[in-house]
Amino acid sequence: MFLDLNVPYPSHGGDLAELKKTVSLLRELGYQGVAYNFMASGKEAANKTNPIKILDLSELGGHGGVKNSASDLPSVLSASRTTAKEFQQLSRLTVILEDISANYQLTVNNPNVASYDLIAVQPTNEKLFLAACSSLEIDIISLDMGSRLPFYIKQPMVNLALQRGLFFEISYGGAIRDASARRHLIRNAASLIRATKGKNVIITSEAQKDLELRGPYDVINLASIFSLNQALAKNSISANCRAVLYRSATRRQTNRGVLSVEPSANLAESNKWKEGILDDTDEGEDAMDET
Amino acid sequence: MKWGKRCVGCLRESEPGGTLAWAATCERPTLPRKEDLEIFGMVRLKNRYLLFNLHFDPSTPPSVDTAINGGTINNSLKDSLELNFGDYGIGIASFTVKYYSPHTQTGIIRCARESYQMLWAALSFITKIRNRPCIFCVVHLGGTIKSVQQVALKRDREALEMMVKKGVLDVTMVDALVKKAHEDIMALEI
Repeated sequence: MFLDLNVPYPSHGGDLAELKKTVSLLRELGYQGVAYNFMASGKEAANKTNPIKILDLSELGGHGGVKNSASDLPSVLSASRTTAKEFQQLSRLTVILEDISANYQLTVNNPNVASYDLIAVQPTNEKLFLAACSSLEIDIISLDMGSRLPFYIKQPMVNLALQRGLFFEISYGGAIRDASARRHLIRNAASLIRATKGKNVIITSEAQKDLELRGPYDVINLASIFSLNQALAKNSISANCRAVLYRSATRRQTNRGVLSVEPSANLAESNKWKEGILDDTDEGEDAMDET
Repeated sequence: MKWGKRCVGCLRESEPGGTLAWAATCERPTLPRKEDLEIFGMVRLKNRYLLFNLHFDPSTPPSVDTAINGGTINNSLKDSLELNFGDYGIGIASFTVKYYSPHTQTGIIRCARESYQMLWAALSFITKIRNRPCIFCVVHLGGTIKSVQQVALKRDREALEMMVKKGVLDVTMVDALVKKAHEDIMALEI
């Protein structure tokens, strides 16, 4: 199951026709999911509501109606119940971090931030990179690999992020657009892979046009140029992407990654007996109180 | 078996201590046959075959573009190799475009096994052919021409039927095209 976790969402009322073409090509190439990315800088992220609307793929190609996003999304934890044929659409927020002293409010308690499926940050200097690796409540660390990075990717920082189960992103779209970005991307990706030893890396497209996409196996081969071996490269567009989804689900839907609470009305028929046990214990306690 | 014990050409014992692969009195000083080489434990040249599909911009109306053929693909792949991997890339990644069908937009490229990843990457970095934006998508990677032929034949009819559905080809042409593609693909050697 191949996923592409970064397709830029046209902000400021851009047209969705281009996005639809991109998504239909993604499906043709054999991907089974996409995350629409909304880039925000600084404070904008915390105060702006989620602009991403999930596309109606049943009428793809025509002028399909548009449904509203988050509530229609299948829960990631229940993803195994949906059929494999379904094309998954997710929303993602990427916040560009520029100021160490600012509070970006990237917590689940902020309803604007919580409405996205995935949260990524793009640190612009070393201090912010350290903050992202060590403390921020996020899923993905994305670096602007199309230009020269202003700092070295150091192994101790990366190890912190790996321990917390964060993922690093490499986007190949820029490399296909122009040659100088390609040079920077190859160098930056190679240094990232050196620091992470190829673990916890995801490869995404960041394709602004549909023809900047590449097929999943072509991407796996491209990763060999970034000195990633074939097995790790395959994980980076399949298994690791799924791991990101599970991580974000535990971040959003559980309390400190330990406990999640669901109303008992949602119990499956085969588990209804659990309700009965709860009632019994309640009664038992009441009886104890009386005696 | 060591060099010098037997002649590669005539397979006769050569003079003791001889270091040449060819006996001095060889009656068949031609190139050795493949089978003969295998007796000597020599490894034959190994290849990789890439079966690719060409995707064009879906907004332009689909059509059969005969201006794009094996030669044009060869040239643009060479340009891409030079741009991305320099003279070294062109030198080390030898390849030939064995087959390309403008009707189904599929083709087969043969290249040396050691450098197929470099060639494949160069293929991925191509963005246009003859100023038409396109994507190369590799659908099968094989070690022998036979495995690639089989996949190519399997995909061929599906691709042609797809073109009929899009209204590019006429139904009556399909059978003739399938037959021709079948002959062309099966005629490929090494």
